[in-house]
Amino acid sequence: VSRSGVRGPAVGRSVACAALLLLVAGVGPARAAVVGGHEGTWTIDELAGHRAPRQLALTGGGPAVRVPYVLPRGARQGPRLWYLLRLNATVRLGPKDGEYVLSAGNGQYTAAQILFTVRHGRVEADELGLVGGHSVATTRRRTLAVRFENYSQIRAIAPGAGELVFRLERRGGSPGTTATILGSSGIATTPIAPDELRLRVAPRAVVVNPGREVRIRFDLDRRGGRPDRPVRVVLSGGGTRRPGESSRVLAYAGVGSGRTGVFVLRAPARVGAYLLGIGVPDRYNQPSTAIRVDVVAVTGRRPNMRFVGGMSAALAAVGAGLYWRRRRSPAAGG
Amino acid sequence: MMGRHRWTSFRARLPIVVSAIACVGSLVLAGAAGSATTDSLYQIDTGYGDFFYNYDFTTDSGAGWNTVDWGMSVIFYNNAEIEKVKGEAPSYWAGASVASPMWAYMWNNGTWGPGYDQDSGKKTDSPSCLGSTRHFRIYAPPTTDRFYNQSYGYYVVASTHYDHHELCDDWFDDSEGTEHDLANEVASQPGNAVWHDYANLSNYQWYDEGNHHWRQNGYATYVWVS
Repeated sequence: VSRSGVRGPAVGRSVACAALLLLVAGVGPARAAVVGGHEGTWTIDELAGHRAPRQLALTGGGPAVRVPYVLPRGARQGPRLWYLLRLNATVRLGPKDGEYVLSAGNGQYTAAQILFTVRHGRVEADELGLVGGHSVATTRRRTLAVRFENYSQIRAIAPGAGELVFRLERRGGSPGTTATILGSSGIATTPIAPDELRLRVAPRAVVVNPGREVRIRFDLDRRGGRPDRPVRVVLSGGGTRRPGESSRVLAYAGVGSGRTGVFVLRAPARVGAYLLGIGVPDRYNQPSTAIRVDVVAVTGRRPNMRFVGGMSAALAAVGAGLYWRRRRSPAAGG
Repeated sequence: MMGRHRWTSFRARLPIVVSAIACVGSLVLAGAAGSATTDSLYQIDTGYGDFFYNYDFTTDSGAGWNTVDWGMSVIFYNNAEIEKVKGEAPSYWAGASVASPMWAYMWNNGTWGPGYDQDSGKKTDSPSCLGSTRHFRIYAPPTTDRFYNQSYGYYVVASTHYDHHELCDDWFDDSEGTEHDLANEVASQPGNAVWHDYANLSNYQWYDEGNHHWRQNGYATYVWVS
């Protein structure tokens, strides 16, 4: 009895201690990790405090998967610190034709939307964001790796509790399509603003006669710590290239300390207002500028014969009148 | 500080800036059969280098005040994409085989544009002699099928109207009714939401121009797509 009498409270104390230890160790109900506030990266593996599986499974058309986090006091999107969402995943597409959307967001605010289209055995993966720009990959493989990051929406970043939400939508296609969200997905912060490339164009408006040369100069520079990569400066809206005109695309191995170039065009024969565009597609923030070109008819070089004739007649009349007055006036005669 | 104020205003209302730069005659003026006219043609600047015109056009080569079709009236945003939105409005089932295409003129921050996107849209029924069908067309840069920026997320824009007696004594009207019908249907999908007549796109027109009966109040409905 005494043993049992002793054992009883001892067991109770052990259970209580164990529970306390578990609670302290964080094995109990998950508490969201605080992320952000300074430059860094927080993977979903770290966000879950290593308590959650290292990978999250999604099924096409199935429920969303959520990973909680907490943003610190004063958290906001820019201008000193920018929040990015990282989505690293493996997508296994079924054999049937269909469309899938792999999306991720900070709560309800979507920052990653990757479109997969399966048609006749070919798979097209389409990404759009402010870091990598727009890219489309086509393949016949059914297992695809996704490495995507994008600047979160402005309203998505606010102090307090938040969550990463991952979802795989399905339109048609195979029910067996799945995505595995890798543990390296998560949140990153950077001081680099989204507008990383700067494009300046002059002139922004041109008035020109038909067939005359138009020269549009651009200056492209970059800032921030993102890697310098090949860029293309593209002139759009100029129609087919004509003799004497420059190429519509100027390609560079990198921006370096800055690039300056000139597009040379010939104004079309047809009078009117035209809109041209110069842009840097598929790279970072993809800056672009519109240029208005007004093609006007040639005027003012040939004399207006009606006007000249009219003025001549008027002057002749005035001269004749004066002459007649001088002849009839006595004073003039004296 | 400047940035802070700007973002605060974003929270209060998504930014819509009507550019006063390009109005009416800024594009090539070329007539097209069946076109209507407007004196309220503007660029809608949604920030970050994105813009679209507040009307769609009957031509892909001469957008202007005298080649407009209907005003833009719905913006689907956050997680929208052309085919996704069309799939979330099942009542609008009749597609390109019975609907004629129109064009929007837009720019997506260098990814696309300035240039045209074509869409035939979706209708609630096939054309007939005595029937009526609601009709929307939805646009985004054709290379991406959606815009992205930090205020709207992934977004697309749409124009709406109502077709009547298309195979006989045809006339067209009720942009507002179709705008609300479409927005309500998409918003009824799980996770979606709607803000009716949320932002002024400056395309108010309310009179008859031949068989083109303008009935648009100038305000676009916003639909949150989850």
